Amino acid sequence: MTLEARRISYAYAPGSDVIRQATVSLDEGRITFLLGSNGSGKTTLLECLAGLRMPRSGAVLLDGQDLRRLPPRLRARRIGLVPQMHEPTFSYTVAEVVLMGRAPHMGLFARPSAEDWRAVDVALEAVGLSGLRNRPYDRTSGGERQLALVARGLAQGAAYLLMDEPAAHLDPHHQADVFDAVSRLAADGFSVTIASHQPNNALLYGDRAAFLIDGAADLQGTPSEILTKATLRQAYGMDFEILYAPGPSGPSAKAILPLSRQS
Amino acid sequence: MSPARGRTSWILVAAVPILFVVALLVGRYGIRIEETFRALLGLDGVSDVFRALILRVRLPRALAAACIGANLAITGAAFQGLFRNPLVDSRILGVSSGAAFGAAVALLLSAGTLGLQASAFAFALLAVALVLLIGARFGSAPLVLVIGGILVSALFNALLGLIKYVADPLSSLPAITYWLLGGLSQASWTSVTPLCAVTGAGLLFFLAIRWRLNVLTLSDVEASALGVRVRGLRVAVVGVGTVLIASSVAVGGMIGWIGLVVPHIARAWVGPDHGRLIPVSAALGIATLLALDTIARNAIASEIPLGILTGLIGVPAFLLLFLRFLRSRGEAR
Amino acid sequence: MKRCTLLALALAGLAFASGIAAETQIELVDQVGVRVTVPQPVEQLISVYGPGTFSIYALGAADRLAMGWYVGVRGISQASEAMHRLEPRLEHLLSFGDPNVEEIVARGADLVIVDGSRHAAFAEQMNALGVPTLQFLVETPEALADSLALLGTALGEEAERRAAAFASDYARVTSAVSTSLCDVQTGDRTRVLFVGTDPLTVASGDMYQRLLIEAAGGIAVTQDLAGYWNEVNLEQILLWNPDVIVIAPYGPVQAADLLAHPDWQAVTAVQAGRVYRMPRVLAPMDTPVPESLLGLIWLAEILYPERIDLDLGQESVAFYAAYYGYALSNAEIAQLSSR
Repeated sequence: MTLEARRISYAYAPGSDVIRQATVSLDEGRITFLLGSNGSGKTTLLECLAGLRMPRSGAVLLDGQDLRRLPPRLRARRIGLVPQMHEPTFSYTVAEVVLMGRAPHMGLFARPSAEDWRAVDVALEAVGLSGLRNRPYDRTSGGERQLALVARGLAQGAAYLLMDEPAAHLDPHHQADVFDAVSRLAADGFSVTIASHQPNNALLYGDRAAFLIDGAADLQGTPSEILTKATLRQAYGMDFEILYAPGPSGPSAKAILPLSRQS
Repeated sequence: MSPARGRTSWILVAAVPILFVVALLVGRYGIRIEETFRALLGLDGVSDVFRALILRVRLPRALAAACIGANLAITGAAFQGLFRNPLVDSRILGVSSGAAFGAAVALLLSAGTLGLQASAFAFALLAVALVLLIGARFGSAPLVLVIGGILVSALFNALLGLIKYVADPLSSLPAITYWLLGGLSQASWTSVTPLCAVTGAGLLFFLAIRWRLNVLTLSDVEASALGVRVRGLRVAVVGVGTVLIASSVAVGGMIGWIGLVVPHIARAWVGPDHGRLIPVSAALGIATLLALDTIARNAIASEIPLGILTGLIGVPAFLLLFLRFLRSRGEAR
Repeated sequence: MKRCTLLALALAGLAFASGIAAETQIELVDQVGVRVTVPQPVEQLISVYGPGTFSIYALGAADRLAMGWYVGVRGISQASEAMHRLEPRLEHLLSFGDPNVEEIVARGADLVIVDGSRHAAFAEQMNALGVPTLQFLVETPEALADSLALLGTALGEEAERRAAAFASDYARVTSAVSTSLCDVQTGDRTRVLFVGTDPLTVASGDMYQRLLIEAAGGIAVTQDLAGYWNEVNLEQILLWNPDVIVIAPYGPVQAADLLAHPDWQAVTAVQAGRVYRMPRVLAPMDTPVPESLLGLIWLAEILYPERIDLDLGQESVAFYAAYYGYALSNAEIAQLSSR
C-alpha cells in the first residue's frame, strides 16, 4: 500500500517548474521526511501528493490508482493533509475541530452522527488529547494545536498523513510531543510524510528522507545516508557539522549542527 | 455547550412566537386581546375594521419583520464564516447598494410599490452577479469577492448620488431618502407572500448545510483537502444569501446592523459551531426585528424609520460586544 | 434779468434731473425682512421661486421673465398642456435644480425672486453682487396675497392692480365659504386626509395643504404631525378614519387605486367613494400659487357639496381669463367641475 509520485512536474507559471520529474514513494508504517530550503517546493509537492494540485506531467498514484480519477470525497477519506498550525478565526473546541475531519464521510446536508463522534474520540485518544476535548482551540498550546490537526487527519480515516512543517512554531518540548505521537502512529501502520526544514528532526525521527534541490528529488534514502556535509551544503548553501556516535555497524550520525558563518 | 447556554437558546427560541403575538396585539389603533384572537381564528364578534386591521395590516407586517430579521441574521452568520471574518455584515457584497439604486430609479420614475420592489430586487441581484463575475476570474477567493463588493458598491453609490441629484427635491428626493432609511409601513400581502416563500426556502437551505459551513471557515487548502468543493459551495452560499437579502431589502429598504450584530451575539452565546449558530441567529434576528418594528410603528404617530432604530441600537450593542471580545482576548494571553 | 432767468432755468433743470433720478429705484422690504433696492422699471426678471413664477404670470409680467423655476415642472415633459399653450417660450425659460450664481448674474436681470426658506444664502450672495433679490416666505394664504402685493409694487401699475384684485377675490371667496358653513359645528366638520406621491405619504400639519383644508371648512386629520411629508402606516390611517381623501395632483396615485385597494376598504372615505385627486391646469393647486384659490373652492365643493354655492366652473373661467389671459378649454372646465 503506497502513495507515490511518479516523475511529476509542477509549475505555477508556464516555463518555470517548481517540481521537476520528482519520484517519491510513501509506504505504510514509515515516517518520510521531505527536506529542502524555503521555497524549494516542499509544500507544493505535499499538495500534489494530497491531490490538491494537478502535476502537468507524471502522475500521483494511490495504491496504483491515479489520484485524478478519485473523487475528492473518497480521496479525503484516505489522505489527510495536516497543515501548518495557524491562528484560528473562530474558537471552536478541540473536538469540533477534529469533527471537521469527518466531512468526507458526511453528505452535503448531513448532520454529525454518533459514528462521527466516535471517530473523533478515537482520534483524540490516539494523539493523547482526550482531556482537551472541550477546550477552545485558541486556548491550547502550540503543540496541542498541532496534535489536534493530526487528530483531524485521523478522523478522516486517512491512512496517509501529509504534514507541512509541523515543528515550525514549536519549542523543543512540544516538538517532542508531536513527533512522539507521530512515531506511535507510524508504529500502528500509518504512513506519515513530513515536509520540514529541520534536518535534525529527520535524523532523529525519520525512516526515510528525500532532499528537494532545484525541484528534483533525486537524493533519497535513509536520513543517515543522505544527510552528509556535502548534501547539506548543496541544499542550504552553508556549512554544517555532523556529530557521530559509535554504533553497532559503525559510527552513525546523531546530530546536525549548523555552523556559524562568522569567523 | 454548557447547560446554561443550552437553556438560553431554548428561551430565545420560545421568545420568538411570544414576540410575534405581541406584535399582533400592539398597535396605535388599540390593544384588544380577545378581538385580535377572534380575528386571527376567523371567528365572529369582531368589527370589520379591526378584522381588516389584524389580518391585512398587522399580520403581514409582523411576518415581514420576522422574515427580514431571519434573512439578515442567517446570511450575516453564513457570510461571517465564509469570509472568515466576524466583522462582516450580510450586505458586504454590494447587494444593498444595488438595491438602493434600483429603488431610487423606481421612485424617480414614480413606478409604484411593485415596481419599486422589483427594481430593488433586480439591481441587488445584478450587483452581486457583477461581484461574482469579477471573483470568478480569480477563483472566487473571499478577498477578491470582498474587493469586488467594495467596487460594485462604490459604483452603485455613485449612480445613486446621480439619481438623488436629478430627483425633485419636493417629492422624489424625500421619498428616496425615506426609503433609504428603511421601514415596513408598505408591507402588505402582495409583497410579503413572495418574501415568506423565499425566506422559507432559504432557511431550509441554510439549516441543511449548516455543518458544512464549519468546514468553510478553514483555509481553501484545508477545506479542499477534506474533500469539500469549496468554490461551488461558496457560490451557492453567496447566491442563496443574496436572494434572501435582496428580497428583504426590496420590501424593507436599508435595514443595517442586524446582519452584523445578531450573529455576533449568537456566537458569543452558543459558540461558532454553525449547527447551533444558524438556528440561534435566525431566532435572535426574528426577535430583534419584531421588537424594533413594534417600536417603530407605535412610538409616535408617524413612522420611525427602522434603519435608524437598528443603527441607534446596533452601534452601542456592537461596541459593547467588541469591548467584551477585546477583554477576553486580553485574558487569554 | 437774464441772470435770473439763467438761474431759474438751472434750478429747474436740476429739479427735473433729480426728479428723474428719484424715479429709477424703490426700496422694498421682502417677506424675510431684508431691505432691497429695486430699479424701476423692472425690465428683466428671474424667478428661482417655483410658486412665485406662477404669481408673475398672474400679475401679467411674464413677458419680462428671462428664466424661471416652475413648481411641479422639473422637465419639459412635466408641464401641463395648458402651460405649454400659455407659454410658448417654456422650453427656453424653464430651469430646475440648484441655481447657478454665475449663470444668473450673467443674464443681467433687474430683479431675482427666491424662496426665503431654501435659498437665503443664495439671496445674500446675489444682493452682495449687486443683483436685487427678494426673498419670499409664503406659508399661509394670507402670505400669498402679501407676496402678490410685494411683487405688484416691484413690477408696476398693472401688476399692482392685479395683486389688489386677487386680494379682493380671495376675501370674497373665503367670506362666501365661511358664510355657507357658519352653522356647521366643529365636531361636524369634514375630516380630510391629504396624501402625496404615495398613499402612505401624508402632508403634515405644518404644510400649506392643511391651511387650504381649513380655509375650505374642513379639518386636516394630520394636523398634529410636524415637518414636511410624513410616512405613516395603514393602521394610523384606520385610526384617523378620514371622511374624505384628497390626492395631490402630482405623483402616480389615482383615486381609483385607493378605491379598489383591498386593504383600504375599511376607511370611511373609501367606503363612501369620497376619494378625489386634485385637478391641475397650470400649477399644482395645493402649493402657494394664485391658482390655490381655485383649489380652495374645489376643496370646499367636495367637502360640503350641498352647502357651497360657488361655481367652480364659472370661477375658473373668469380667473384664468383675468389673471392669465387664458381661455380654458371645455375639457379643462370639465376636469375642474367633475368630482
